[in-house]
Parts: sequence; C-alpha cells; structure tokens
Amino acid sequence: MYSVIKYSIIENLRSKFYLASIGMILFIIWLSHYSSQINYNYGNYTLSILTLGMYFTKLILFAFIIFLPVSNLSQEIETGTIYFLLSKKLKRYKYLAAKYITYMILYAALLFFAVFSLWLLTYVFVSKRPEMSLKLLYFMYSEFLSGMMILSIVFFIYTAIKAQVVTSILTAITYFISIMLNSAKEIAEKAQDASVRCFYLFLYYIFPNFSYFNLEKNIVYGRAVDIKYFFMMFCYAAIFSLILFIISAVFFNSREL
Amino acid sequence: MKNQKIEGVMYKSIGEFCIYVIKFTKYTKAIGECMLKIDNLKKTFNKKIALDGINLNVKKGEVFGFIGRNGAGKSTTIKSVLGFVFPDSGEMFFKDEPLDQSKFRESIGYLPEIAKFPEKLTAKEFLTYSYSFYKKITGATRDKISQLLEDVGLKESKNKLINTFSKGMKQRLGIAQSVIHDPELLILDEPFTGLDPVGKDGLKKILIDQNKEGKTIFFSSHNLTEVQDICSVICTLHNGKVVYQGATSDFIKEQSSNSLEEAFIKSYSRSGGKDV
Repeated sequence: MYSVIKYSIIENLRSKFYLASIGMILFIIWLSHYSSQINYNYGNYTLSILTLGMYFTKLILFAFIIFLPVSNLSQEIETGTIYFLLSKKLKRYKYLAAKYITYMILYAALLFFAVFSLWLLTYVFVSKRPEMSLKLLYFMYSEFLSGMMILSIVFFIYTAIKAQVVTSILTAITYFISIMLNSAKEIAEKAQDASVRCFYLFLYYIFPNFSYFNLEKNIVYGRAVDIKYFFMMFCYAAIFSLILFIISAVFFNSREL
Repeated sequence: MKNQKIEGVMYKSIGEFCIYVIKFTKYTKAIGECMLKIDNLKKTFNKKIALDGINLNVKKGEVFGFIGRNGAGKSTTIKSVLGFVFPDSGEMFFKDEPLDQSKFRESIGYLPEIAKFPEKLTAKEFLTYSYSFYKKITGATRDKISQLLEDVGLKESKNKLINTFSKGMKQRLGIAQSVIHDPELLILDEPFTGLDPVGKDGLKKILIDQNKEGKTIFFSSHNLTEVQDICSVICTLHNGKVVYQGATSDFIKEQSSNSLEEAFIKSYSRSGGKDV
C-alpha cells in the first residue's frame, strides 16, 4: 500500500495537471490581489485580499479534489493499468485506500501552497498583520476536512456508477446542496405542507453539512474558534468519510474490471 | 561390536534409500503436477454467453497456448482466473487446491493484453514498484532489477519514462515486471500483439528462457506461428467452448495440416464457424 502511495504521488507530481493546479493557485492569488484593488469593500486592504483569496482558493481546490481522482481512477481502469496493480499481491480495498491517501496528500500540499502564498501576500508583502498568520491555519484545517469529505463523496459516486463525467457533476451537485442545508432546515421548519417538510428534512439529514466547515468570517474578522468546535469538525468529517469509504470499498470489491 | 557396525551401516542404507524414494516420488509427481485447473467455468455478459463450461488443465513446466478468435473467451477466462471478472459457475484450482486469490497472486506473474503501465515512471522505478508488492527493497533487489533490465534489453533505457517507450519495449518491460518476483506461473494475455517480427522473436526467446528456468507459461494468442514454435500444449477455444486440448503436434496431425494456423482454420470451420 505504501508503494502505491509513493509511486502514485511521483506520477502525479510529474503530470501536467498538478503543475497546472499550482499555476492556477498563483494566478488566483494574483487575481485576489488585483480584485481587492478594484473592489475595496472592507475598508481594509488585507481583509479584502483574504476574503477574495480564500474564495478563489476554495474554488480551485474544489475542482482539483473532484477532477484529479475521477480522471486518474477512470484512466487507470479504462487503460488497464489497474490490471497490473491488482494482479499483484494487493487487495482492492487497499488499492482504494492508497489512492485516497495519495489524493489527500496532493490536496494538502496544494492547500498548503495556496495558504502560504496568501500569507506571503497579506503578511509579508502588502500589509503586516501577524494575527492573520494564525487565522489562516483555521482555513487550512477546515478546507482539509471538507476536502476529505468531498473526496469520499467522489469515491462513493464513482465506485457506484462508474461514469467519469456523471461522477463530477453529481459530486458538485451534492456539494452545492450540502452548503445550503441550513436554508433547507429553515424551509422545513416553516413549511405548511407535510410532504415539502419531509423532503427538506430528508435533504437536511441525508446530505453532509458543509456549512460546519465555513470559518471564513471568523478568519477575516479575527474571531476565535473554540477548540471543541475544531474537534467536533474533525469527528464529523472523519466519521462521514470513513462510512462513505467503507461503502465505496464494498462497491469496488464487487465490481468487475 | 561387529553386529552393531553392520546394523549401523544397514540403518544408514535404509535411511538413504528412503530419502531416494521420497525424492523420486516428489520428482515424478512434479512432472505431471497440475499447476492450474479450471472446471466447467461459465460466464454470461448481458445474456450473451462468454464462457460455456470451460475445462482446462495446465501442468507444471508446460508452455500452454490458449488460442481462439477475437471474442472467443480467452481474455474472459484469464480475467476470471485473476479475479477481475466473477464467473457465474465453475471451479478453479491452483496446484490441486481451490484457487485462493491472495496465495495465487504471490505465485503468478501477469502481463495484461494491453500493457499499459504507469506512464510517468521510469523503467527502473516501475520494476522497483512491481517488486515492492512482494518483498522489501534491498541492495540485492536493485542488482536484480538491473540484471533483469539487461536480460530484456532495456538496460540503456532504464532511466527513461515509460511513455517514451515503443510497443516492443513496453512488452519487454511487461515481461520483466511479471517475472521479477520469480513466480511459478506466468499468465500472458496476447503478448505478441502489435510487435514487429524482431520484437516477436525477442519475446519468444525470453519466454523460452523463462520456461527453461522452470516457469510454467500460460498464454493466450492469435499469433499461431509463435504458438506453434514455443507451445508444447495448446487449447483451442470456439464460442466460449474448449474444442481441443492436447499436444500441439497432435492437433496439427488430427487436422491433417502442415501448420497450426492451417489446423486452426480447419478446426474452426468444422466446429460451425459461428462468431461469438
């Protein structure tokens, strides 16, 4: 399993996709700097850069954590590379776990690069705000956990339906529904019709709630977050990802190649 | 005193005799030992019969050619053996024991039909990667990998990325990865496909050498000239059914032909010549 992780990382680092992602991160950091000059809403230059920078970074990371695994996994299956791997002494669930860890490592490296670039821009080059350095770690932590959950959704959908494009679209839809779950709960509470209430409650309970991982306001306005909340976030993401990963492994195990 | 000496010599002789008997029994057993056995294997894809009760018996030390037209069921059989496809019914045995995938994979080397390997790795990295599934990488492993690359004629290209390799080079690298852990059985799916005559000849030599080293080789192919050259035993497959299994020379004689290709065409026409 360790060797699958090691060589998958080497392979991905040599691919154009990863280099392009790093290039995109640099571009969006520049874009957030440029946009903050145009859209100076917050009365504070650093806060403006941070808000836009985190927003753009989230978009890039979101695209990365969906498209890299989907294209990579489907390519391995369609071209037959998977036959080489699975004819060795490697169990299918271990292959899946190795791939999951590989993508999380690559994602974490990209996230670190993005956060480091943002920190350089806000702290070193533009305005010296030392307190921002620590707050950016909040962003790193929450994005890592939400990346973990998105990746498990990708694995779950891909192993269940085996289609590249549909997996990407369904994961994106799941994510967008999931960030609006609080609104779904509000609608359910206000709804008169029982069927409407049931539908929104169903959405609320069946989809993962990504709004728990939204700490941008705390970061921008320098609000502290309770350590218990961080722990709760970790437990939520870990349990959700583990359950989905186990289901994905069962699907993958019963799949003909 | 004298008696004790005689008894001692006698016991020693009986002991040695017993060891000879055990060795001889093991040797005679090994000659005909069954490496891979398939019993009544059936598989259907969307109501279309791919395998219709396949029976196979690959013995230790054989070079076994598995031949048939495109879509005859060769790859499906191999994929079933490797656990990539789940058969509807039938039994598989490895060394006379029910096939246990985890044990089986330790003892086999496999070359897929389309040898697509991780393209962004170098040949040396790829072989190290392949070896790491079985044993820990040591200094001796690195020497073994260098030797193996030399054996398959890829010594000069060991640090080149696989995506720069020609089809023949990839195929030779594929053979190298399949034998790196010294397996007992080699399963090769269409190893000659897409190779030029020089490439085919090179691959043939590698397979003959591997067989001389004691490896059993099971390969599917529709390059019948190569099969005739290196296979002692063949199995022909038509519409998911085994039509013949036995010595290559007997099959050619049975069909009153001069070559395996001619014999195969005759056999195919006689069996109805239906496409799957």
